[in-house]
Amino acid sequence: MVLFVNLFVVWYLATRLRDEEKEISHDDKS
Amino acid sequence: MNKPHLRYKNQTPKERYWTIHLVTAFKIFKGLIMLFVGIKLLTLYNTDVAEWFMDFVNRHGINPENKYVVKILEKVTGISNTQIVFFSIAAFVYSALQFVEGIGLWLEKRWAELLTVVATSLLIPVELYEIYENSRLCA
Repeated sequence: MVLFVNLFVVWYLATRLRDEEKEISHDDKS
Repeated sequence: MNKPHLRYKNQTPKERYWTIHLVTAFKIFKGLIMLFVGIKLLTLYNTDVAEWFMDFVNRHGINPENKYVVKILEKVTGISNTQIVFFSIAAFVYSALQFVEGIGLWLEKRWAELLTVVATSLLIPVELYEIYENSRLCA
């Protein structure tokens, strides 16, 4: 169960970081 | 009631807030457990760990012939003081890492998100290996 929680944490934070990165670069362009 | 979204991009700000804070709670909880383990290990310095473990099993009414009890007993028999100190330090270091991740995430710091992704993903292969080993031994 801890493994699934850890997998979720990695997936969630990694996509959060990626999406925030996209938002930042989008703001820079506009 | 709407089903909560788990994908970051589909979440409402409230759902994002709760997801991050649940992760924080999980990290702090793990940190507290490891802190307790580290302290408990230090109290076992200069004692026979196997004897303490059997006493613990008897005090809590656990079946001493349970396969997990037997397996743990085999592992803790003959543990030296050096090993106790080593495991205790490892528990304290892991606990500190969990607290740093948890507090950083609570404060919504970007470095904490990066640290959590790297530190957690590095330990996933170890967890997979442990699950594989345990299933192989239990089979």
